[in-house]
Amino acid sequence: MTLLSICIPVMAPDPDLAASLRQMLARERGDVEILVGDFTGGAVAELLQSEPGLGDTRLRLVPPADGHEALPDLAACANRMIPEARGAWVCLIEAHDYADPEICAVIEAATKRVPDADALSWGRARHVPPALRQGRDIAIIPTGSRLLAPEQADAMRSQFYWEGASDRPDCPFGAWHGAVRRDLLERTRAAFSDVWFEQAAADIDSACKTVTLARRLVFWERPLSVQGAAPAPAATTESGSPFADFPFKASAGPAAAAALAIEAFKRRYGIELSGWEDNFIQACVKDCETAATGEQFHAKKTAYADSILAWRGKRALASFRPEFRRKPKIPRFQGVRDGRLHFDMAMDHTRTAAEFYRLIDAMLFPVDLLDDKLA
Amino acid sequence: METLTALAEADGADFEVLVGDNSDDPAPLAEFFRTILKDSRFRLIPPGPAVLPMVGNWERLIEQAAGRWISVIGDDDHIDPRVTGLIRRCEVLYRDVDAISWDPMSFHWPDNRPVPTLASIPMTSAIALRPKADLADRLFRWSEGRRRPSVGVGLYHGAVRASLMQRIRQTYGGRFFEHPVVDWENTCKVVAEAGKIVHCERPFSVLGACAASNSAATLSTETMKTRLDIFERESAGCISLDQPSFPFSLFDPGVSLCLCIATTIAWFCQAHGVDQTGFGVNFARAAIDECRYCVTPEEYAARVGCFARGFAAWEDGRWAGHFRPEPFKPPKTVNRLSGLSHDTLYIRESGIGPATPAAFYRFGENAILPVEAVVTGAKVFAP
Repeated sequence: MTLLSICIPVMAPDPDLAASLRQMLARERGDVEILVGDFTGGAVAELLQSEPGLGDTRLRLVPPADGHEALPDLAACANRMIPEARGAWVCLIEAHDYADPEICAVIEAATKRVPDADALSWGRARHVPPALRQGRDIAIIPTGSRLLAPEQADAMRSQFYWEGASDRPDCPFGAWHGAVRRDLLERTRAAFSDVWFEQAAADIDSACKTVTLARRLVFWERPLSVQGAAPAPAATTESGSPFADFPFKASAGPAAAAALAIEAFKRRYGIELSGWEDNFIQACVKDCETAATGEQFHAKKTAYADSILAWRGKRALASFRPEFRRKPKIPRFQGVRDGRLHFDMAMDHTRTAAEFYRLIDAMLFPVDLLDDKLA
Repeated sequence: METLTALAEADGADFEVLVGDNSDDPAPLAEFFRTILKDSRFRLIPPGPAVLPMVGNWERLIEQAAGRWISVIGDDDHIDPRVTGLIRRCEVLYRDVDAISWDPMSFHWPDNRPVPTLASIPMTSAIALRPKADLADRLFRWSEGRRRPSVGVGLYHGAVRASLMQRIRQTYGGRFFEHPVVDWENTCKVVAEAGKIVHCERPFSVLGACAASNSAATLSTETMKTRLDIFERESAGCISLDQPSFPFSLFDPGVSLCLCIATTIAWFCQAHGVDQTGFGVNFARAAIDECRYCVTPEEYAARVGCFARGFAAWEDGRWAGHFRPEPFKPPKTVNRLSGLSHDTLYIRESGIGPATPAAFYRFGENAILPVEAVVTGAKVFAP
């Protein structure tokens, strides 16, 4: 029986995909399938046939549709793939990401203790390839290995009220870099719009729906996947905000992009909330403070300040006080702080999310010892 | 030579590297110095007519050291020459400091991984004065009762002021070193004689273990026994590793590093009249702790037997009743528990790239505070 389907929609040829797949297949689990969706017009199908080491029954291709339909976004691609997935649980990542098939071991350990768990997630790890780094990039990963069962209400506060947010909501649940039971996916489809993923921002869309419908959430502190940064899409003219009364643009940064997706979800399904605004403004502050250069900082600050002013007026703007602190003379912290390891992404010269996962896997609690630890 | 090549990459001009060639063939290192290294910061001390015991080799090196501070590492280790920055900071912060220790990283060379292995990186970086009385308790009275006293002071992967080494020589019969276990002997002397000892948690060196090194013995009891035989043979004429007043045999099949350390501490305290109140009971606790780390029932039986025979013979069995090892419990895992534990990051070496201690140090430096931040005492960091 297939326990987990890792779905990877590929929307553009990726020279590192074969190595990433080989690394996944090196895990000796028979209960995982890796589903690769070819939305490139055939490049992935060719790759799987020509690259050595990919002839494995656990690796399956969702071939390009007849006539090579061009699908517009991650959500559309993922919706094409879900019917093909055989796993009892589904995890969605992108071609430049990585997910460890040993997620299966964590599903087993989690469901042994929380039988009705239907959404599992794990600590976040992000990787920026060398070519996309702006100076020194510091990776921050959690070092804990506790298996937690957060309350749904807490997860909803993280997602919708931005509690404990960084430059994005601190809510890791959903199929995107998480695992959800097939049953929950089907309930999601039935409850909302008859598709599994509705918005182009499939990550936020999935998080909103998962925390709303999941019966039991389980979270392992230890990262099991890596979100790889992709090159910024070619500049497009963003005409404006989709909402006149929420005048933010997704291009301002992750905080604005997440807020717009959450707003879209709430408005579509008639959910009205208040009390999240201050936390969101602080997420905007953090978003500005992640800027690598003074120029970027000021551009972000201006964009957010304009939007906040137009949205909530001068009073709201008073709490928006980002500071540019990433000055060349001030060192970046490296080491462990608040249980999180901060390290230079240049460590071990990793080029891809898969290579980065190989590194952090060696530095973190071994996945295969989780069940023993909990016994 | 890999160690020397890595050290030569450092920019500073405020350090020298003395290389004590104690082999029976001077040609390879001499050739390396002449044709490849060509660096005035390095000095080669060629081998004598016969291979020297480690005591003699260390003795002749320290005699020729010109630095205000001295540090010793093995040829399979690594040290960051920018440790001179740490020394200067400590000299400013703590006037009259004469010994500086730090927490080293540890690394197994790829040729020394007969079983899964873990490398380690200490993650914190505070600098603080270490009270001498506390160190003396931990060392001479083994007050913690754990398999190793957590002292880490001395020349070996630490720095000692040259003037303190001279004082040690004057105090202890005109020699820097006497006992074959030179690193722990030096720890005893530095703790006994130093005025101020400062500890920096940030690593500045790597304890490397290659297949040919003594430290490889920590992965195999068999290797430990072979190395001790060679060590005793090469130490002929020095103080014997077997001391009648501390009748634990280092040539017993159940020998352990814990016992080597105990033998050295016991010798030093008896030879130089250092009070050891509490040592008997605490060493028994340490021996029990050492037995907890056995991987197989056979290893456990040999180790327990070795300690038991020693305790029975030592001071007419006075401390034997305190040595009550727990029954053997097979470990759930051996060298697999990677992750952060007690401020140290343990890394499965099969999953990372570095192949030498120098490369591992550079690797590890990505995850600890930069040297500049440590030596300037930086407290503010960019997000």
